[in-house]
Formats: sequence, C-alpha cells, structure tokens
Amino acid sequence: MSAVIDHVHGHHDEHEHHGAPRGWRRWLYATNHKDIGTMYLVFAFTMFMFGGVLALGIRAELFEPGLQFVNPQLFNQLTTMHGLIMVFGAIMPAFVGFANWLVPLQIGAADMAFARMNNLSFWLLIPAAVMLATSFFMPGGAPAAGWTIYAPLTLQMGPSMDAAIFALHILGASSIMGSINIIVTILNLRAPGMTLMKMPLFCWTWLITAYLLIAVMPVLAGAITMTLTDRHFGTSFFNPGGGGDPVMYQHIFWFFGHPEVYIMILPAFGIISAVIPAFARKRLFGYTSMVYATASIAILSFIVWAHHMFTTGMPVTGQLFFMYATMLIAVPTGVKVFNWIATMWRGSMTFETPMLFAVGFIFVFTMGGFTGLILAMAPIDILMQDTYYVVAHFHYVLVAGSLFAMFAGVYYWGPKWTGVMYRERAGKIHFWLSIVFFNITFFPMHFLGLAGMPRRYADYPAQFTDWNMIASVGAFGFGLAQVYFLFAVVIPMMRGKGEPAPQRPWDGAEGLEWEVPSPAPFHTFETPPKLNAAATHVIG
Amino acid sequence: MTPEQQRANRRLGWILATIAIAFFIGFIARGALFGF
Repeated sequence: MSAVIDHVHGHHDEHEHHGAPRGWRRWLYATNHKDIGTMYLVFAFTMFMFGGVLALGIRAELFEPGLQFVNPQLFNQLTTMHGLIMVFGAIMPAFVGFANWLVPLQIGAADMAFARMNNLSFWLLIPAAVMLATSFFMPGGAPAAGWTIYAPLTLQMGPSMDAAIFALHILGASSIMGSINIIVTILNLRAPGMTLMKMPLFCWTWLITAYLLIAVMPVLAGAITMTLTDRHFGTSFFNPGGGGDPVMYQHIFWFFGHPEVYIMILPAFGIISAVIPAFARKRLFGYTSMVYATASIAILSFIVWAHHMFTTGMPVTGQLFFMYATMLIAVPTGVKVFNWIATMWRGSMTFETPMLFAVGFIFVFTMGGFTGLILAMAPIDILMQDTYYVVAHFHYVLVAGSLFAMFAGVYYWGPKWTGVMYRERAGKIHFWLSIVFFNITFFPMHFLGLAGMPRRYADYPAQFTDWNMIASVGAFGFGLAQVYFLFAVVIPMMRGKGEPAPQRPWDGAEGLEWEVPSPAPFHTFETPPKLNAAATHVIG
Repeated sequence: MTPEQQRANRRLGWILATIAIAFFIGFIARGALFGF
C-alpha cells in the first residue's frame, strides 16, 4: 500500500538496511511479506467484487419467476463461477494475505521462510484467475457443473472445464506452497521466548489450517486430474459409461471439501480471537482450550465428509456415523463461542468497527452453525438436500463467518498496514449496511428452502416470489455496501488519507505487531527481538 | 537468517512438499491400479 512506501522513505529504524524498491519491480519481484500480503488482499478483494457481480446476476434473475436476463445454461455458469471464484479466488487468498502480513510480525520473524516461493505463490494466482474469468468466452461458456464440479456433468462440459481444472491445479499449487511457507515460518522462525503456547491464536489457527491444506489440496488435485483423464485420455474413474462411479467422485471431492470449509473459517476464528480481547480489554478467556478446540475441529473435519451425501444412498450405520461425527464438531465450536463470550464478560468493552464486526460475526456465524447442526441430522438433511436452506446455511457460515471476520481484521490491522486510521463513521455505516442487508438476503432463504425451493434453478414457482424478491433487494443492498467500503474505507486508507495511526491504536491490543510503528516499516525484526515473559512485548 | 536456519527451513519445506506430492500421486495411483 502506498502509505507503506511513504513511510519507508520517511522513516529509517535501526533494522532498516534499505528501503522498498520503487515502481512495478517492487510488486513483480516482491519478496517482502508485507508487499505480498498487500497484493494478496488486493487480488482477493478484486475477485470478491467480481464474484459479487456474478451473484447479483443470479439474484437479478431470481427477482421474479420466469426467465428475465439469462437462460438456464448461463444461470448455471453464474452459480458455478460465483462459487469457484469466491472460494478459491477471494476467501482463500484473502486469508493468505492476512497470514503474510501478520504471521511474521506476530512471531517476531523478519519475513516468511521462503520469500521467493512466496512471490511465486502469489503470481500463480493471476493466470488461474484470468483462466477462470475468461472461461465465459470459451465455446459453450463457463463451467456449469456447480463449484463441486461433479461427475458426470464435468465429462459433458466444453473446453472451459479443462481451463477450470487447470486453474484449480494452479490455485492448489499456490495454496500448498503458501501453506508450506506458513508452517516453516511458524515452526522455525519464532523469536526466542515465543513458545507455541504463547503464540497469538491467529498464528495457531493458520498453522492448523496450513496442515489441513497440505492434506486435502492434493486430494482435490487428484480428483480433478482423474476427471481430466476421464475427459481426454479414455479412463473411466467417474464415467459410468465405462464402469466408473460418479458417487466415488463425490466422496473424494467432499473428503477435500469439508476440511476446505474449515480452511475458510479457522483463520477467521483467529482474527476474532485477536479482536475481541482488544476491545473487551481482557486477555482471551481459555487460550489453551481455544488451541485444542481448533485442532479438534481440524481433526473432526476429516471424518464428516459424507454428510454432504446422505441422499446418494448409504447404509444406515454410515448415516449414523457421519451424523454423530458432524454433530460432535459443535462441541469444540461451542467452546470457542463460549470463550469469546466469556472474554467479553465484564470487560471494558467499546464498539469500534472491528468489534462490531466481531460481535456481528458471533451472532450470525452461530446461526449458521445451528442450521449446520440441523442439516447434520440425516432425516432432516434428506428433505433439505439441495434446497435454499443449504444455501442460507453456508452463506451464514462463509459470508457472515469468513467475510465479516476479514472485515473485522481489515479495520483492526488496517491502521498498522497503512499508517492511517479509517473514518469510524464510515466503518460503522459499512457494518450496519452489511449486517442488515446480509440478513435481508439470506434469512428468507431458510423459508424458501423449508418450503422446498431447490437451488441451481433459474426459475421457480410463483409461491416463492415474495421471499425471492426480498432476498434480491438485500443482495443488491449488500453489494452496494461493499462498494461503499471500497470508496469510503479501502481507497482512502491505501492513499494514506486520514488521521495518522499511532503505533498501538487500540487500548487493549496485545502482540508483537503493535510493537512496531504504524505503518509497519518495510523491514521488521531483522534481528530476533527479546520478549517479555508473556511474549507480548519487545523488551530489547 | 542464519545458514543453519535456512537449512532447517529447506529440510522442513521438502518434508512437507513430499507429503503433498505423495498424497497426490499415491491417491491417483491407488485409484488407477487397484480401483477405489
């Protein structure tokens, strides 16, 4: 961000040997974790806006029954690409951006362990994103098999499916390299005294997430490679015409897909665990239990995948196993929610924008968690499968969960990144618009799903009209709220417009990232800092 | 970063990369050779 550049030339601390490179070389050849973090965040926000436009296309079509703007084929392309872009292009890169900015700062490291690989991880995203985005212009249009790219639909698609598979391979490679970087950085480069159990929870959640990524991204890569060979090389892994099994694809996909859900939410837990103590002005309640709860969620995420597949047919014992295993995840998740609330209990709370988003996160994410529990019950899930109830559930988890946590993180650490404070009024407007329009968009989808409206259809019977109209109005309001965020918060901060941010803008904020000036200098902790007993302050 | 740290980083990095590659290749090989 430009504010960081300004700072670098205006401030030279004792660790700083040279300033930031200038011009395009700074970004193309970037090896600095802060620059790469900034690029990840800008990329993710761009993809978020693109995926958002696709979502608005879906909601415009569903405003009323009948076909208004798009034909059913294009509608399926919109839903597929919205999902792929939001999951692989927006949420995952955004969290990697947070990790790049924060992990070295929070553990007292000079940079990521593999700085050049970090550069490669980022720049791999660009061709993948271009391939995904331009697949709309390929013969037959963009992939339309859903973000889960189920066989045998994938075997019937045009060349854009090959582009999507290649893009996913590249994105997967980028994720794996990013994960290796994060694990090695955390395990090998912590400052003396920063033991694992003193590490900020954001680092813990990312450490566990990185292991999840290394375990499951190769599984997705394997599944889509087999899809590719089914399409072009005469194999029949998933092609029933040649003796293959499409249901096996679903098992493999969800063996990746369910841990992927936690890949998208565990770093959010880490952000919330940083924000709430800062604005409650209390230490996080139950730090150790938070670490174990995070690990428990990660482990359980490997044994619940078939709850996505109750309707494909499986033995009752299988249904019971996956049902109870899924419900078990509520225990560590409940531990986390309890600890956040206990942290707020009798705290000296103030409600600046990061705290508003954090508290909003707890409310709406918990609602998404509860509907997840309902869907975990096989008899109910069989009724709700592929209805808007499921759409409502995962948007409560991913939008109100991951996205709201990211907003909390941007407002919380933004002053450290850019050196300027955002306008509090603008932040509050953004929060209230987001949470109100989010609920207007997605809460009615519970009713639609319960009434039996299926997902991934461009048209619907007239009895679903009212709630669809409300959801579409809410979606456009939510989209406008994010445009407001871009122009009222993001751009001014990146241009350095605003009150200069102090080193520690929040009273209760603790951690090594607040031990360096705002904006964080280009080089930080080039020699390992000496830390106090709690590893929260630099003492020498 | 000291040379020892760099060596340790590379070592752990290769271990993790090998795990990822083994999962990827092993998974396809199992499906191709033995079926699922």
